[in-house]
Amino acid sequence: MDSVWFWSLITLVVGFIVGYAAQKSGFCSVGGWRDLVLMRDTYLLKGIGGFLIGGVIGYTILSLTGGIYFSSQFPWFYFKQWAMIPGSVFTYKNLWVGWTIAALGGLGMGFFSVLAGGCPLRNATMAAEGNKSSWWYLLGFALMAPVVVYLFTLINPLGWF
Amino acid sequence: MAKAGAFKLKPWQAGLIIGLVASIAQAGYYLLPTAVAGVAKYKVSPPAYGFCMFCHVRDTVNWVVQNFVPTVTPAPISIIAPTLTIFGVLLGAFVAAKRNKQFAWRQTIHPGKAFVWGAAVSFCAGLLGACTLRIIVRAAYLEPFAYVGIGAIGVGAIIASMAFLKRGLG
Repeated sequence: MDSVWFWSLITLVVGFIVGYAAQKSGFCSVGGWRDLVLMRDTYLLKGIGGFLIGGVIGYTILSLTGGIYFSSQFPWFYFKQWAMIPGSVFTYKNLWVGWTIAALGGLGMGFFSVLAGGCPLRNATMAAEGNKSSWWYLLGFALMAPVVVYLFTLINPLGWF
Repeated sequence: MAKAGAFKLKPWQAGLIIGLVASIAQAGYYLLPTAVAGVAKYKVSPPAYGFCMFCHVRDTVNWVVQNFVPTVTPAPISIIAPTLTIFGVLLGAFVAAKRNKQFAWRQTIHPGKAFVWGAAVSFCAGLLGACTLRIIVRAAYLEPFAYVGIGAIGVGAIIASMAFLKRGLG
């Protein structure tokens, strides 16, 4: 079988399991912080801890069984030290500039996610539960995603720093 | 599996499941060929890329754009095949909601506001290079910055919550 589309199928299945678990539990990766401040409640915040532990277990299993494509990657800190995993639209040469810009992005993301009522995953589950606001949220999210990428590759093709 | 709606997960249990699935999904890159007709040999497997709301949605939109308006150059992975993560999430949550009888049309915040917040979150996710979920996947990949990112998201969320407390909810 030509496995090009297999990746699509995997992401679909992964998304299904994640969506199902998220709906069953009300998991939210931002709501935990909000509940901590507003209600002194760590119920949701434990979700982040569970996620992190699950991820570490999963990657450890993968690296022990040779399931990570580039074997010299998994304990990222061991192989690449302080380098960031590429993905930010802001290309940079200086490590500290990259860290600062990305941290600012994280700050804004936490802020706007609370205003929007939850993290992107929580909004997707709310959309599937019939919340019309979340459909508008997802529309804005999906339309902005490529725009921000093209915007930054346009004004910053090689990196400034 | 228990009767419909009979079992409920705690957030930490759901987190554990999501974390396991999101990290194991990384092995899916083994199933991709390293070169496709029309696309030069590409590097497979962006690190810690099993699950991301922002990146995968972007890849999906990119794939659609690439197939109808081939003027831009998206990330290599999205030229090959679209990532269907977002549809999987919607489908999974919809099935769970239906089984729990929790599905109901409603509206919590103004549509225009929701649209703007969605775009704002997307913009910030672009700067961060991950959504709030993938930053945890990256942290599980033991990347030092990811912990700073989680902290930054937490600080941002706490600032917004404090503002809510000051101004009163709603």
